[in-house]
Amino acid sequence: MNEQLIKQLITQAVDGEMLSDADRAAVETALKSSPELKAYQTQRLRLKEVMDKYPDLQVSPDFEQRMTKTMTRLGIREETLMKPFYSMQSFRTFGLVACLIVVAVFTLQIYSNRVIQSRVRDASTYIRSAADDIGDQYYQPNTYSHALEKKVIPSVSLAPEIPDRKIVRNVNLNMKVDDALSFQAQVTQYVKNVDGIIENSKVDRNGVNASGTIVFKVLPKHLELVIVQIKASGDLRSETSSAQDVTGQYVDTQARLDNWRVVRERLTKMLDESSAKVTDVLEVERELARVTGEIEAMESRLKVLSQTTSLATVTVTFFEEHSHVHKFLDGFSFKQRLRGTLESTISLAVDTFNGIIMIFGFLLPVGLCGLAGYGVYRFVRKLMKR
Amino acid sequence: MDVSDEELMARYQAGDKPAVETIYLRYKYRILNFCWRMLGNRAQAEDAASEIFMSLFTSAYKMQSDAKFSTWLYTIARNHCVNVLRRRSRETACEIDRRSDENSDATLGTRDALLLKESESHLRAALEQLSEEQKQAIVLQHYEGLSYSEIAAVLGCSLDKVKVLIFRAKENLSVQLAFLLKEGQS
Repeated sequence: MNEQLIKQLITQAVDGEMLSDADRAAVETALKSSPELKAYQTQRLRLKEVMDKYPDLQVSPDFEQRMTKTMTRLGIREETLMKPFYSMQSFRTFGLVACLIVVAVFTLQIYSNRVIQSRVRDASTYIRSAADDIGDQYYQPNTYSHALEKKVIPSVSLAPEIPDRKIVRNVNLNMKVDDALSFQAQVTQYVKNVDGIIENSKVDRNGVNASGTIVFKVLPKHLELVIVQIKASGDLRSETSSAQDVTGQYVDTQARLDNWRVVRERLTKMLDESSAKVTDVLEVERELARVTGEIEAMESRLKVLSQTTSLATVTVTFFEEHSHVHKFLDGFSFKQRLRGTLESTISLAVDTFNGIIMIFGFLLPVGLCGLAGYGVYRFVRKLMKR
Repeated sequence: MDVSDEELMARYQAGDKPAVETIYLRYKYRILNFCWRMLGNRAQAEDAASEIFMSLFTSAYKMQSDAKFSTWLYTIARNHCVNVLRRRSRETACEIDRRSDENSDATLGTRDALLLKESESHLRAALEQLSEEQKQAIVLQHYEGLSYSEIAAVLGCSLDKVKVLIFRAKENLSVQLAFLLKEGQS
C-alpha cells in the first residue's frame, strides 16, 4: 500500500469514518513504523482543531421574521392574534357565540312577555276567587263591581286619587286575541256593564288574521275594573297610561269666570240706572255683550274640562296572530283554502325576510367592531415591525 | 420520543402543514450556516436559506419516500448555493462579509479575540481557495457532520470521489494554514 493511500486512510480515520479491518491494520502498522505518518496524523488532528475555530452564524431576528411571514402566508404557522379572524374553526366559534346571543335576547323577550301575562292571569284568578267569596260561583261582570266595592280586589293604581282634583286619564292597551270579533263583543259588554260610552269600534280582516280598535270612555272609578277584565280576555302586549292634572287650569278658569260675572252684575246695575245718558247706555250695553260672550266661552270651557275629567278614555287595539299554516276548516271552498294558503306563504316569506334583516342588523355592529379591532391590530403590528 | 424527519415530511405531504415547522426548527441553524460557509456573506446566506426553506415548503411532494430527508435537504441547499455562486461570479467579484465580529466570543480577552478573528479570517480565505466541489465536501463533512456516503448522495458522485475530494481539500487547507498548524504545535 503506497504512502498516499495510507494518508487518505488516516484522514478518513481522523474524520471518524469506519475503515475495513485490512485498512485499519495497514494504518496501524504504518503509524508504528513511520514517524512521518505519525506526524501526519497529528497534523490532521491539529487541522481539525483549527477548522473548529470557524464560528457558527447566529440566526438573526430579521431572518426569523422573514421565515415566520413565509410560513404564515403558506398556512404552516398560525398567528395567535389573527387566529380568531381567519381560521375556519374560529369562524365557527364566532358564529356559535353570535347565535347564542341572539337566542338569549329572544329568550329574554319571551320571558318578559310571559311574566306580564302571568301577572295578568294572577289578577284574574284573584278576582275569580274574590267573586267566589261573595257567593257567586260563576264569572259575572257584576261580581267584579261587587268585589271592588267590598275592597277585596287589590287596587291597581293608575293615578293617585286626589279629591277635588281634575285629572284627565288616558289608557292604551295592545292585545293579542284568539278571536277579534268575540273580543270586541266582550269589551263592548264590559263597557256597557259600567255605563261607559263606546266612541269608536272597528274590526278589519286581512287574510287569515283580523285586527281592530275600540275607543271608549268610562267613569274613573270603573276604569281599573274594566282594564283588568280586558287584560284577562287576551294576551297583553303593551300598556301605556297617562294622567294629566288640569286642576290649575280649571281653578283659574273658574276664578276668571267669577270675576266676569261680578263685572256683568255691575254693568246690569248701571244699565238699570235711569239717569244715565243715551251714549253711556249704549257703551254699557256693548260692554255687557262682550262680557257675556267671555262668560259663555269660559262656561263652555269649564264644561269640557269637567266632561274630560269625569270620564277616562281607553283605547284598545287588538289583533289575531294565527299560525301561518292555514287551517283547512270544513265549509271553506277550495278557492278560499288556496287563497288562504297563498297568503300564508307570502306572509311567511315576508316574515322570514324580516327576520333575516333583523339578524343581519343585530350582527352588523358586532362585525364592524371585529373589523375595527382587526384594523387596529394590523396597525399596531405594522408599527411594532417598524 | 422525537418524530423522525421522514415521518414529519410524510405528515406534511398528507396535509398536516404545521409538521414542517418542526423540520424548520431542526434545520434552520444548520442550513443557514451551510449557506454562510458556502457563500461567505451573511445577507446572501440568509436569502439563500429562506429560499431553500421556501423550496422545502412548496416542493415537499417531490421528495421520494425512501430518501433520507437530511440528504435531500442538503442537496437542495447545495444546488441553490452553487447557483448563487455562479450568478455572483458572473456579476461581481465576491466580497467576503467581514461582519462576523458579533459571533466572536465576548468572554475572551482582547488578545484572544483578535487571534480568534485572525484564525477565522485565514480559515475563511483558505476555504475560498478550494475548488467548488472540495469546499462543498469539506463543509458538509466537517461543519455539517455528514458521513462520506451521505456527502456522496448530496454531491451526486461516488464514495471514492468523495474520499479523494476531502483528502485533497485537507491537503490544500494544511498548506494554506501551515503557519496556524505550526503555531499550535509550538
